[in-house]
Amino acid sequence: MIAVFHGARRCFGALFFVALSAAAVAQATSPLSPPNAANEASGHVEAEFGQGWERSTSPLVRVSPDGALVQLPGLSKLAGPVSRLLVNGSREWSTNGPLQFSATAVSEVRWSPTARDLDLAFATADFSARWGFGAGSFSVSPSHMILGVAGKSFRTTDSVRIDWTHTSGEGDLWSIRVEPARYRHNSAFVDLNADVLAVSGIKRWKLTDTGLDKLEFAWGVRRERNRQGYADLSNRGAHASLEAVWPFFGAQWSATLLLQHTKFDAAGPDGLPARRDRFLSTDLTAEWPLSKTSFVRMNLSNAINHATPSLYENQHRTIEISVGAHW
Amino acid sequence: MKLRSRIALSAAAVGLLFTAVQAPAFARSASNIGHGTTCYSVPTTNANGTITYTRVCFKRA
Repeated sequence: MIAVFHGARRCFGALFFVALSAAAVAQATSPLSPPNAANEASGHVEAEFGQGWERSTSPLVRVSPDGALVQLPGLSKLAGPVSRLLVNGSREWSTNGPLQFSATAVSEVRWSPTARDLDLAFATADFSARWGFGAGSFSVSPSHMILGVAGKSFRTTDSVRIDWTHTSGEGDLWSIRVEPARYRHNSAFVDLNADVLAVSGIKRWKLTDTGLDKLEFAWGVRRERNRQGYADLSNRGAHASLEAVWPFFGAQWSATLLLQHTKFDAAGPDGLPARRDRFLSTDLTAEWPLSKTSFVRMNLSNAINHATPSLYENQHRTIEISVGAHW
Repeated sequence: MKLRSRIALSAAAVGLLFTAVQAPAFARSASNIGHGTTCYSVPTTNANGTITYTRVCFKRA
């Protein structure tokens, strides 16, 4: 377990270094971002630090001496202050032709001094090749992601994203993506290893005449097949979200509503019925510019999962204020 | 612990994790990164030859 933890730390450190390196390269080589002519490189760097408070609640569950799951009265609560650090570096290379390359590295760490189980670390690196065809473009992008929870390595995800994105000069946009992925877990969670196929899309409208900066509808369907053959862990799901962005009181505000439904293939252990999740999250964010390259942001979010059986119900609330800069 | 019970508890833990990772994902106008979403930039060539980059963010698989 200690070796796994140290391995995860090394991975996070390596990707963190990649993100910082991308930042340094972007700053050193790209005074203009994005480029204003073809055959140029551009870079984007972002760093953000947030301080917030989180609270998670879920049913209180124990395993009886004979190995059966028992749900007890009351809730399991996890709450405390959480700090967050995000570093994101990306770089794009344009060519004289319709082809463009890009690389992105992102690392985010969240830690709580009083509730270590809220600790979470996330890092991803991806490379993309994109071909332009008029107002649309086609992209293939392999990606590697690692995720750690409560100070331990939890999941690595390898995926390939294939997308078609169509933009207009007025700021409208639509996109459709197909993304096969493979989940791998450390030895404690190896039963959750799975193959996933997701199809998702976005439609974005610029609505400046109405007082809104942007309205965006997103949707997706996914199929997860457990690689150990556990049908009660295989599932299919769908989600839809609507985001509105508008200016008010010197800030850019955004509100998002997300609905997600997941249905598992078979009944669970100990006589549990097949799991069904109905996930609802709401999110409100306000961002004030401090300068051309820095900002302060406040975020409120609430997410609740209604589940059958109730073992899987949970609620998560977050409030956070953060400062960040981008170059 | 019985294997099947352990799997169920693991699945419950994953449910909590998804809540933590995905809930605040979509509203970050400038940086909705890391919370279960991925962003990429799409170039658009304008009439005068300049290139404008548009950011697209989406929920991960």
